[in-house]
This record gives sequence, C-alpha cells and structure tokens, in this order.
Amino acid sequence: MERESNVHFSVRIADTSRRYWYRYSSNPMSVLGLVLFLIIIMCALFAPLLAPYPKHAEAFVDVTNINQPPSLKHLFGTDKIGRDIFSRVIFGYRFSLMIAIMVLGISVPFGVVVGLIAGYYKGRWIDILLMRITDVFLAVPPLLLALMITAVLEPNIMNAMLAITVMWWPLHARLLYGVTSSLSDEYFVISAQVSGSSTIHILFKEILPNCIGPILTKVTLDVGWVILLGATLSFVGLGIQPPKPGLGSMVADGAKFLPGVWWAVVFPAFAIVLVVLSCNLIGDGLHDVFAVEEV
Amino acid sequence: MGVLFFIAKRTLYSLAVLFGLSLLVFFMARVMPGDPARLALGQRTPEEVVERFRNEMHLNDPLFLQYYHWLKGLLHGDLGVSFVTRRPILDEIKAVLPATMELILFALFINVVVGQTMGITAAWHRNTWIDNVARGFSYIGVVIPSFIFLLFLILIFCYLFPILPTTGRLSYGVTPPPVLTGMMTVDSLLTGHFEALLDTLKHMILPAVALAVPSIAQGSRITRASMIDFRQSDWLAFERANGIPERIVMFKYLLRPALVPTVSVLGPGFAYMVVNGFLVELISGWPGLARYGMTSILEKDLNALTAVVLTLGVFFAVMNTIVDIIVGWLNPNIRLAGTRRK
Repeated sequence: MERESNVHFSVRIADTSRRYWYRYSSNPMSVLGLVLFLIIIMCALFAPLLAPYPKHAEAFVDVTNINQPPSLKHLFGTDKIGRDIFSRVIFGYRFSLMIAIMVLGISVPFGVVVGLIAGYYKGRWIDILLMRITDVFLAVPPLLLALMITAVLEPNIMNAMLAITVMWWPLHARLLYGVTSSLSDEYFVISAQVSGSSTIHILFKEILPNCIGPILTKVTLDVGWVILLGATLSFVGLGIQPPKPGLGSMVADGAKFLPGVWWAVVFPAFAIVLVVLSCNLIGDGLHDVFAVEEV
Repeated sequence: MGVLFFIAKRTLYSLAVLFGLSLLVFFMARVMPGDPARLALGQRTPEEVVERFRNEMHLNDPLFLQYYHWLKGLLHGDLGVSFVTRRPILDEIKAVLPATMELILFALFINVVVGQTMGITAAWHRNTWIDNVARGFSYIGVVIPSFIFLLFLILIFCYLFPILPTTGRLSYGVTPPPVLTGMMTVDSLLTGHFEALLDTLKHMILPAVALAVPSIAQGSRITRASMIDFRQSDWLAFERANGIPERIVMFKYLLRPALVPTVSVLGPGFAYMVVNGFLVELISGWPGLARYGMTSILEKDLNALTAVVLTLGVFFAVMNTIVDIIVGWLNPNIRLAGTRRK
C-alpha cells in the first residue's frame, strides 16, 4: 500500500519536472541563458584544464609578451606584465563562482528562516523586531555597507564574502516575509494548526515548500548580482587581491591603460556582463515557469 | 486628515530606520576587529602618537558614551572630525555634495524623460519592431552595470570618436563660474557663463548617462507592462465607448494609474544611482561625495566614512518618503490602506 503510493509519488515528480522543463524550454532565451551559465560553470570547474596558460592566473611575468593584442595565441590579448587574459578570465570565474556559492549558501538559509518566522508571527513582537532590523539593513543599498565593512577589515576575498553575506540575507528575509505572511492565512496552514502540528513542522513542511518557486527564481538572479558585487568590490581594490585574478580588478587594471590596451578592459568587463546576463535569462525563465503554476 | 496622518506615519517610520542605521554604522566602525586609530595612522606610528590621537578623538571613552556624543553631535549638525585631514567632516561634505547632486539630478532627469518616453512608446506600439528594440535595450541596460557601461561609453566617445572629454568637471582654460549653489551648471546659467555651461555639460553627459541606464531600463519595462495591464480595464472601455479618442484615453486616463509602479521604483532607483555613483565618480574623476567616500575608504578614515554612509542613508530615507507620498497621491488605495481598517 505504502509502496504503491511511493511509486505514484515519484512518477508524479518526474512528470512535473518534465512539465516544468517543457515550459522552461519553450522560451529560447531562457535556454540560451542556461547554456551560457553551464559553460561558465564548466570554465570555473575545469579552469586548470581549459585555460591555455594556467600559470598566468598567479604572479607571472613575461616581459617579451607585454600588452599583446588579441590573437590566436592569446585570444583576449595579454596584460601589462604579459599574462594571458583569457586564462585569467577563466580563473576569475572560478573565484567569482566561489564567492557566489559561499555568500548565497550562508545568507539565503539565514534570510529564509528570518522571513519565515517573522511572516508566520505577523504582527507579534518577534515580527516587528526582525523586520525592523531587516529594514535597517535595507535602508541603504548593499554595495555601500559592503564597501564600509571591507574598508574596516583587511581587504581580502574572505572579508569581501563576509561583507556581501551580511548585506544579502535581508533581501531574502523580505521576500520570504511577504510570501509567508500571505500563506499563513491559507486553509492548509490553518488545518495543520488545528490538527496540532508543531510550529517547526508548519514552517518547514507546510509553508516552506510553497515558497520554493520565488526562492529559486531569486537565487538564480542573485548569483549574477553577487558575482557583480564581488567584481565591484575587487574593482575598487577591496575584493580579491592581486596577483589572483578578480574580474573587477582586471577591469580596473586595464582601465589605467585606455585606450591603447582596450582588450584588457573589454574582455573582463564582457565576462562580468555575461554572468549577469545568463543569470537574468534563467531567472526570467524560472519566473515564467512558476508564475504559470501559481495562476 | 488622512493625508497628514499618512505623511506623519511615514516620516516617523523613516526616522526610526535612520536611528537603527546610525547604531549599525557606528558600531560597525567601532566594534569591528581592528583599532580605528591604528588604521588611520598606519602600523609604523609610535604608540604614544596613537595614544594621543585616541584621546584627541575620544576613542578611549566607553562605547555607549562615544555613541551618545556622536549622536548628539549629529543632531546638532556636527558630523565629527576627519581622522586624516582633522577638519570638520560637515564642511568637507558640504564642499563635495553639490557636485554629486548635480550629477544625480541630471541622471534622474535623463532617466525620467528617456525611460518614460521609451516605456510609453513601447506600450503604444506593442509587439512591433519599436517595442522589440525597446525591450532589447532594457535587457542590456539591466545586465550591464553602470561602471562597465561608462567604460564602454568612454571607449566609444572619448577614444574611438574623440568628441567628449574623459575625466574631470571642467576643461583647462575655461573660467569656472562664481560659486553660488556649488552646482556648476546652475551657477554658470545664473551668471551667464555659457562657455562654462557647455563645457561642464560635456563632462557630465557620459557619467550621467551611465548612471541613468539601469534605471531607464527598469523604469521603461515597468511603465510598458503596467500600461498594457491597465489598457483593457473597464473604465477605459467606458471612455472609449463615449467616443473619446485613444490618444486622450491613453494620456489622461491610463497614464496616472499606470505610473504608480514606475514611481514606486524611483526611490530605490535613486538609491542605486547614488551608490553606482561611487564607481562612476571614481572612473570619471567627478569631484563628488562618492569620490570623497572612496578616498575615506582607502585612507581608512572611519569618521568620514560613517558620515558619508549616514548622509546617504538620510538621502534614501527622504527620497523613499517622498516617493511613498507621491504614490499615495497617485493611488488613494495605498494612502487609505492604514486608516480604513480602523
């Protein structure tokens, strides 16, 4: 009996996911975004294998190859001390993705729990306390306070991640607060309450599964924005420190040699835009998938 | 009565958030590991000099006392003394604020004019090539951050076709107008220095466009979407049935409700402009608040930095309050939401 229902359940999941994929793939732009994003992840994962000059991702000087324009040998040209920019961009993705995973891995669960609790106890003191704290963090854009935190601490990649994490959880708290506070009046929540389910059960087994759509959509977009924020911090010298390849610091380095060495700016900048673009395309696709489901 | 209550409630709320922000910013600057005096003076300064500096800046007092004095100063318009220049921060900020305001207001102007025109045109010519071009542009505008956009603009308009200057606010050899408001365009307009006006506009156009692009993209998308949403409403069908031309229906009856979502994103949009201004001012050498903030970050001048963050916090709070009040005026449902229940 139980076994049967399990089989039925798994068939249903496979069925839904196929339906989701069908809906997602009906928009070619979303698929393009997914393909771009997979390529970027591949670059990040297999950077040492894919980069033509893996050594150039660290401190490396080749005085004979300074500021070479793009060619077959150096697809994106070389920088002011002769390093291959293509290799550095690929390794730059590796660091960027690491930042995104660390930041979102910590800030999203935290923000989600805060939002769930505050939304469920809407109007009580705990809601007021948590959401007013969230409001304070949201009073100024994340970049500003992130700049301040990294300025107070030592500028390095760990502190950049810390700063972005501290600024990121309120966004998810706000999102979950909105969804939870509208869901907590629904009948399935009330029925769980009267049947004596624990609050933990109601929050995580009844309400949370209904928030997966918005969370997933937002996290996808966030990957792009967090990478951009990381790149922005490294652009002003407060993120990934040289000689490690930060996408932002590569743009900043190149900008000093405009217009002669345009490739040192254009390609790393384009690499940043590509991440944000692919994440936005995926996010829009997911938004459509889940939006149809809700109607 | 309802309107005043709404404004008062909104203002009180902003004040509470600002108080929270002042706590957050102050303790962030003081409690974080690392000694502010050491940070400001560097590792090699002898201990007695650092100690004297601490006494001078009251860094040896208990934290709550420090916060109390700092907040009391703030309320009297005293932002403290810079760790680096030892000058009052208020004066320094006053000197750089007009330049930033000028740039942001110009960007805001471009944003509203271009963004709304684009959004309305796209909605009017829905699903034609015009609409598609506008949508493509918005997408690009959303995903390209301001500072990268500015670098691309500089490459195109300063190097490929050298028609605009790369950095600064005024060219060499152009006499600056006398300082009245500190905003160079306004000053030169008031005093009739048209050469300076043209020159400073030339310097301002690229950073302002770069700042405006993300908001133009977002604003036009939202205007288009909400105009299309409202287009099929019953009350518009009624106007059309009365024989009112579509053009008048559109601008007189459709635009007002359709603008509500657009105006409500103006507040956050403005906030992002100011923060993007940090990088844009840095790249284009614009002598404004953001550049002052960046300098204080790089010089570890925590007093100046907290002042900059708080100034911007006040900016955002004021902007968001104004925007909420405008939205309340455009859409009575929101304004009355709080009062109706009671």
